[in-house]
Amino acid sequence: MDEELSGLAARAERIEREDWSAVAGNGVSVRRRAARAARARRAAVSAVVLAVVASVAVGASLAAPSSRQPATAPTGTGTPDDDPASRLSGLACEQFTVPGRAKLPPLQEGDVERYALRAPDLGADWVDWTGRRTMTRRDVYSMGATGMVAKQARQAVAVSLARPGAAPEWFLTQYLLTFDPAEAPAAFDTLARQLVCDPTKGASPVPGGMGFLRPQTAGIVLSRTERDGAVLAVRGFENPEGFGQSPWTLVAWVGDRVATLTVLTGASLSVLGPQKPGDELVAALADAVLARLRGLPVAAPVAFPVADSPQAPPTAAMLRPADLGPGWRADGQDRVSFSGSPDTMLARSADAPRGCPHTQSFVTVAQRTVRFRGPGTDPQRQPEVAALVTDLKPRRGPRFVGTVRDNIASGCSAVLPFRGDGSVAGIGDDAFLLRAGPLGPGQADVAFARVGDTVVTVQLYGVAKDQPYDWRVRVLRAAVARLTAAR
Amino acid sequence: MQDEDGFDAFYAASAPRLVRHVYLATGDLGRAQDCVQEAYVRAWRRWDDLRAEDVDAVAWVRTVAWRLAVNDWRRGLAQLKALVRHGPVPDVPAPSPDVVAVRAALETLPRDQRAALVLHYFSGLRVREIADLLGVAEGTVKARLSRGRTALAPLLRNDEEDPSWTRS
Repeated sequence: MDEELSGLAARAERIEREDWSAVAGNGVSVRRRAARAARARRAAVSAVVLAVVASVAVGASLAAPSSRQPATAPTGTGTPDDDPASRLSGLACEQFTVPGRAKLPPLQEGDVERYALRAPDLGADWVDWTGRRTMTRRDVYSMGATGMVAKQARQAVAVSLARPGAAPEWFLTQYLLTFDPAEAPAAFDTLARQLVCDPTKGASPVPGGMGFLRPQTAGIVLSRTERDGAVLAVRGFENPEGFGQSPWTLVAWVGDRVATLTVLTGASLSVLGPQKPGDELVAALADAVLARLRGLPVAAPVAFPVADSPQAPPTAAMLRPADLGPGWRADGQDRVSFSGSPDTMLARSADAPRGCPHTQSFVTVAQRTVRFRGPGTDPQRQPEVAALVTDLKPRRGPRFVGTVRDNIASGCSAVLPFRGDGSVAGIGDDAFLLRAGPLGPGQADVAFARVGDTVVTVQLYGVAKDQPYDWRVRVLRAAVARLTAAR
Repeated sequence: MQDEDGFDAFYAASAPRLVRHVYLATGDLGRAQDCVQEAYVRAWRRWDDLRAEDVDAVAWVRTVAWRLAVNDWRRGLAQLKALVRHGPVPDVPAPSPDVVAVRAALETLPRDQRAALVLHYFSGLRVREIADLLGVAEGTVKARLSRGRTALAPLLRNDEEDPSWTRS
């Protein structure tokens, strides 16, 4: 044993004797998760970012007058001229400790969601995303390693809003908490300090432990004291490839209520060009949040910008039920996305063996998806088809096909050629018929074709393995014909 | 029909330890639970094959879970993904002072060193096994272990009076 590390070895021995069964869950839940994942794969065809971002909750709708207040001292803290940033500047970003969860009482039921921002507050094209969800202590922990917040929160709710269907896709996740009035300022300071110290940790839990933070005061976009509270916003991270950016995070406090809001986008804000929003959008959002926290309506929608382009592929470019044969019908509405990838099944398998090259990811510029359900009455046995038309960035089409070929040839792909090398002549610029391979059990068979920098994908779920080869070719050919006729 | 009872028993026997190890390396319980569960989900999908081929299933899920954790380090939004995938983790007992202390000390190290130390001291893997799992050379693992030991030595004394090391 290493003498210099006897402390670790001794602790390791004790820790290894601990029972972590309650933490690990059980096999039944894992099998259920596997079943859910299989269903989800059938249902969700693309738009990975949409799923990533849409973590929670709901809000009803209402809109009305705003209420920006003159800056005066907040209740219970500081002086009129010490805004949140100046208070934070004197604090070291060193550490904090989370109390044991088991010692804390459960959160109370309440109607705190009525203080949340609602879809119309942000614009007519915003929607409630995944439904309101009452938070647990565990969720409060996941807001950040903030013992004060976890310990003092009385009620908590998560509400998520989104603007899908236009570029860039916007998402807003908000957490609302109530406290004893005397504790709310400290909770705000704690959350604000965490954001300022390290914005990337805005949603990272450090359960039962300690966090060591770095000061990031340069990231403060807005810091304002109100007569009854305060608001602070920090700049988040940006991903030049445009996948899951988080431009801003805000924390606001009014009375006994504290809210945090994380703004995310599905694609790069560069699609907005000169319209790219700046601090004025954050200020408008802060006003709206404060108004709602006061129980007041929002005067005018915050107006998140919409890009002139890209536009989603037109409906006329999509496969139709008649192209699949008798008994097939449309299943649900079209889905439009401006993020994600052409088809995750065509990428390098997540289970690819060591040595498989990390291939380039291909960012979707615009995508439309339609789904179809086949003949039969038993939903469990009905075949399903999802057809996607995906516009890639200029000159990425041939590279995309090259990557798919490489993945298949190297055994790193979740799909394999249906026959021969998988290629099919005479459809678009390139075309392939593929089937789920051993690295992707439970996945769909896939047929895809490239037309310039647009990829047409047809995913086949539950379609019998002996379904005629010619039928698959015919469907893919029809999908490409629809696209070319519409453009 | 898959062997549900056999899988459940395998999970109960091996998953708690794996969650603990990934948690100590990542410092994030939610992420550790997600990575481990995902590894077992994948194991369940091919459970018959793993059984039929007499694969060391524990080593298999450990490799998958660790690679998922390492990949999560390299990606953003892992936390949100986990939350979306299976919601908040149920309330669990507070960690012991030992866990808190070790986790806090490990967090001061670079992630690569953390992983090497946990795999060595907790999972009991040899240098070659760690190298295989992390996809690096044996010399790299040795260097990470050495640097990690040196950095941790002053922080984790075998001192019962001070189990909750803190940095000031």
